[in-house]
Amino acid sequence: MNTLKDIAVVFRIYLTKLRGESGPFLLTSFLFPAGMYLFLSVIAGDNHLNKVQLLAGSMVFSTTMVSIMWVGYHLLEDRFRGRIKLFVTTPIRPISYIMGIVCFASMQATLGIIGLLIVGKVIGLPIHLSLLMLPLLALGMLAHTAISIIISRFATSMPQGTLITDGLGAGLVFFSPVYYNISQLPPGISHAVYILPPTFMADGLRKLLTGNSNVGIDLLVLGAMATISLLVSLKMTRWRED
Amino acid sequence: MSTVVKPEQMTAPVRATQKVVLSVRDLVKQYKDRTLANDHISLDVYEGELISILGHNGAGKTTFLRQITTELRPTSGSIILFDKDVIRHPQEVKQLMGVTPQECELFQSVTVREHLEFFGRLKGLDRKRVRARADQMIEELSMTQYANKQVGFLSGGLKRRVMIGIAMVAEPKILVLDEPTTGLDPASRREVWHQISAYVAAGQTVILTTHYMEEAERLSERIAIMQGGKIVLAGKLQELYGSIKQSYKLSYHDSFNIDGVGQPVIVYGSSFAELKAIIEREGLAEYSIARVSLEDVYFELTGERLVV
Repeated sequence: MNTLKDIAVVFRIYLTKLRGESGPFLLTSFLFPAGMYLFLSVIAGDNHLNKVQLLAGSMVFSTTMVSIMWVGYHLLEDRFRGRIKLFVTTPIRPISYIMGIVCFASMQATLGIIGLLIVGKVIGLPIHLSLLMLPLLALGMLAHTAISIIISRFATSMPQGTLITDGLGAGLVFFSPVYYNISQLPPGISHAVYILPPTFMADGLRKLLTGNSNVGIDLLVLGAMATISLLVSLKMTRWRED
Repeated sequence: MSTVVKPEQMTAPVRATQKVVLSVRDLVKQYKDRTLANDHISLDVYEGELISILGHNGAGKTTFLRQITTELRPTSGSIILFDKDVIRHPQEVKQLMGVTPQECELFQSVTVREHLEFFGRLKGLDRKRVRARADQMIEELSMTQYANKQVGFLSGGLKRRVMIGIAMVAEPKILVLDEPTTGLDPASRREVWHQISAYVAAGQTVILTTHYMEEAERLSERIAIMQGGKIVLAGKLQELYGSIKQSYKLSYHDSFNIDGVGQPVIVYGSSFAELKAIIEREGLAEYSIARVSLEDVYFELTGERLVV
């Protein structure tokens, strides 16, 4: 009960902090992914299946970008500005702090997803909406959390940390079969991408957007990745240094 | 000169009825690069007192405090706060402590009131209580006119007061302040001193680190002087003054330079009579005799000067 209350308070702190950053927040959460998708769908031409694949890819891109770059940015900022000490010296658990920030980032991801779905509808795509999108995206976000935490823990400066989170956030999506099919990848890489969460997020979303609910495997793999990610996150986020 | 202060050598509390609330024994902190930051420190802190840990940068003050606040794991030794083991039960002892860390920013676009309420909630206060405490803290901190201002618009002194407010909001049993006035202008420093003094006057316990002599002298009932990771002396102010043999200071200006303008001269003596004899021998007309200051004690002990 206390953990849930603490997560809610941490979430509210970052939400309140947003009042000074609402412009960039809306820009990155809504305009950037929606604009990018519009650009890609124009290039894709009239092929609806291609456009659905691009929409799924843009949703994954938006979520991955938020979960690695945005979560990473907050963790780095808290560490290098010393604000983490405000939390460390309270009785809250590290998991409450992490989950509070992840919940806040999820809000931005949700805005991005809604923006993309609106653009998809506007350009006339036959989109199927499914509640299974929610656990799929949530597990995908959690699966990336450990990356942000590891970077924020070992970065030697804030510019270095943000450079790595930005590079990894974008790089991870472009390495994964998100905007294209896995069969289009070179043989060596096509096997390696199965360890990347965006591969399963994109696969699941593609299916759901076309009305196929057979995403059990995707959810299972993302669930396992999210569990490992959370365990690593907890191990790496220690309130007491050695 | 540097010697480890053992528990049995530590001074008694200022008031006989004061009980020990924080007990540190043989605390050692050695970092991975082999730096020995704290070297067998033992110290008792009594209920309702303000004790200052005085030392220059790198003396080990912050390392010492960070182990008490559970941020840093000691290499060996024990820390007991209100009968709770700080090393084994960090979550429990955090409920008892209010901490103002060094080099810690606030959330620039969050208001003073919101800071107090959010961190009050994280420290376990319920919604109703946290609102009442935030109101009380804003009044006690003399921040009524800034209550709804975002902290990014406040001066350094006001921000530091907010930090102290965050530490105090959940009514901790002990306040731990790491260099609370470093980097502040003299006026802001005095504001913070006033706030700390009011807290101690209300019967609360405070442990703070500082490298300002004036701060330690003005605020503290007892002072512990740190050098090279050790507490080289701990005691009440009068005990510290009495700890050096030459505890009287004669100041005058000589008149033997070519401009006829005297150079300042300071002579230390072990007694008033000894200095009086010098005055008579030199035939001094203008002079002053005083007990040594904390700065003199510190210099005698460590061979280093601190910021005055």
